[in-house]
Amino acid sequence: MDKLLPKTALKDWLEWASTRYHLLGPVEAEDGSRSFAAVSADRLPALDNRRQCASPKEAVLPSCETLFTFDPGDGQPRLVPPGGEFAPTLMVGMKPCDVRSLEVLDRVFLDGRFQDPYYAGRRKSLVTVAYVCESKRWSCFCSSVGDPIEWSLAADVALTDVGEAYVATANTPAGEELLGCPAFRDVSADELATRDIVWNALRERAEPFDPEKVAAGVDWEEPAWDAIAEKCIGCGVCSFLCPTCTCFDIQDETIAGGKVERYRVRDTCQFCDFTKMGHGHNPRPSRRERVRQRISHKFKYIVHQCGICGCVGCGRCVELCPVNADLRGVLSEIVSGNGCESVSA
Amino acid sequence: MAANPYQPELATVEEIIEETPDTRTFRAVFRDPELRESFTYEPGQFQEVSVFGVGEATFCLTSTPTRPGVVEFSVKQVGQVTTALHEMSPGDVVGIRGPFGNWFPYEEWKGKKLLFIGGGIGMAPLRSLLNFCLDNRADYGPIDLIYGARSPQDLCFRNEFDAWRSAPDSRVFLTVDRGDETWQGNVGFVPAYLMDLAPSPENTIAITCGPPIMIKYVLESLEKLHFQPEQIYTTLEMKMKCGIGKCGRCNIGEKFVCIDGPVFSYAQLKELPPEF
Repeated sequence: MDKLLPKTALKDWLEWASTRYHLLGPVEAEDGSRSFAAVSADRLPALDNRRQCASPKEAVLPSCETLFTFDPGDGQPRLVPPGGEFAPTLMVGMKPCDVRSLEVLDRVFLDGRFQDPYYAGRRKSLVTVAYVCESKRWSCFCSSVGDPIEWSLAADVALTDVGEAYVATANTPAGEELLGCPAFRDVSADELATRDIVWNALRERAEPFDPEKVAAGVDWEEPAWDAIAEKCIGCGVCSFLCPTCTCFDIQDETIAGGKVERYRVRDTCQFCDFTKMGHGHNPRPSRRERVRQRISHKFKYIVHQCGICGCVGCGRCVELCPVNADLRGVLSEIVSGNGCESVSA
Repeated sequence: MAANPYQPELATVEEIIEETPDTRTFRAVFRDPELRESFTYEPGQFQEVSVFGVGEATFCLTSTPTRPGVVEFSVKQVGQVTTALHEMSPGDVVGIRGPFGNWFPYEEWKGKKLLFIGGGIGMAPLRSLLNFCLDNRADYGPIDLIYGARSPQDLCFRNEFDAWRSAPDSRVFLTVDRGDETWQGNVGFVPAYLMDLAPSPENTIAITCGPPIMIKYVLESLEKLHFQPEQIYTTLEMKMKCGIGKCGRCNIGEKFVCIDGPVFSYAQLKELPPEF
C-alpha cells in the first residue's frame, strides 16, 4: 500500500501516532551528535541522509538491563522479574542499514534453540518506519553488502523523499494501520514514478554480494589479521557502535535490603578478558585472535549459523575508529578474488 | 525448564563434600518440590550456578540422571564465584539454570567397551557418564577407567573408587604425577600410563577430560594406539555467560560450546579451528 505524506503533515502524523505509540527517531543533541531519542509533533525526527552515531539496537537490546532481582526475603528467597510492560514503540526514520540490523538481531535472539525473552518483548512491541536514505555519507557502504531498497521494504513503513512529500509504502498490517492516519493522502502516478526513480538509482548502485562466497573467502590464517591487529588498540568502539554486535556480559549488583540485581551489560569480543577463564587460560590471548574473531564472525560464522551477513555497511566502525581501521579495506583485502573487490576504502 | 532461560531456579545446598584441598562437590536440591521430582538431564550437560551477589559460573553436572532428586557439581576454587561457593555451608541458597548443551551419545555406544581417561577435576563430567553407564551396566561391555592427578590428595571422588572397582567387568587404574609414602598405585602422567596399559581400540569408545595439556597428549596417545577420531570423545571448557548461544563468548569458529557442545568427538574437533 502506498500513500503520500506531505512534509508539512509529518507533525500531524506523529501527533496521531503518539496516542498509540511511544515515538523514537533521530534527533540531534546540543553538541551536534545524533541518536535515536524521543520525538513528537514538537520535536520532529530528522529525516535526511545523515546517519546517527548510535544504532537502533539500544531500543531492543539496551546497553544495560535488569534480568531479575533476587530477594533474599526472610528465609523465603525469591526471584522478582523486572517490572513494567514493553511499551508499543514506533521508531521513525531508520536508515535501510538500521532496518537490516534488526533482521540480524532477530536471527540471533529470536531463532535457534532458545528465544531471548527480553529482546523478544521489546522487538515485538516495535514498529519501524524506514527513511530511504541515499547512502551518500563518506563512510557508508550498504550497497556493497546488500540492497538498501530491499532492506527498507522490510520495515513496517518505508518513506521515500520525493521533494515536498514522502511516498509512504506500507509493508505489513501494522504499517497499513499507520497509513490510515488522515495526514496521508492518495498518491499520484507521477509521485510513484518519482519514488521509483529514487529506488532504481539506489538499486543500480547495489553491487553483487554473495554472503556465502564472501564467507568462503574468510581465511583462518589470513595475513590481514596481523596488519589489523598491529593498528588496533582494542578499544571495542567498533562493536559498541555496531548495530549488529550482540555480545553481552551478565553481572550481579547488590542493592538496598540485601537484594541482588542481575543485569546484562554490553560487552565486546575485543576486550582481552572476554574469553579469559577463571584459571587463567585464554583461547584468544592477543589482538590478532580477537580481531580475527570479530571479522570472521561478521562475514563467516554468522552467515553459516544464521544465514545472514553480520555487516550492514552502516560505516559507524569506519567513521569512529580512533586509529582509522577501515573495515572496507579489510574486507576487500580478505575477500579479494571472491566477488567483493569493489568494497574498498 | 522455565520459559525464561536467564532465570535460575532456587536450590538449597544439602551437602558439601571435600574432594581435594581445592575442590568440593556440592549436592543441591531444588526448593520447588515438583521440580525436584521432574528435573532431569543427560550425562555431559552443564548448568549455570548462581551465587547471588557474586555472579554465575558454568559447571558440568557430575551427578547422573539415574539417581534423581539431587544435582551435583564439583568446583575447583579458582575465581570469584568458585571462591564464594567454597565459602558456602549446607542450607545456603544457590540458583541453577539448565541443563544446557549436548551430551555424550551413550545410546550409540551400547554393546561397546568404554575407556574413561580423566585428569584432575576433569573427572567431574566423566563421573556423570561413568555412574550412568554403571547404572545401566547390561548395556555396555567392559568399562575401564584411567584416572590421574598431580598427587594422591588431588584425586577427586575417592570415596567412589571402591564402588567403581567392584562393579561387574570394570577396572580402575589410578596414577599420580608425584606419589607419597602411602601411595601404592602408578606414578606418571596420564598419557604415559595410557601407553603402558595400551588398551585395544577394538569395539571401544574412549572418553577423556582433563587439563588441556593432558587432553592434547591423551589424544595423541590414543591415535598411536590406533583409535580412530570417531572413537574418541571429549568435553570442552570455555568461558560462558548465557549458556544459550546469545552472549557471543564461547564460540570456536562457527560452533558454540554451549549449544553445539560441550561434548565433541575428536573427529569433530579436527574440523574446528584450533582456538580452545
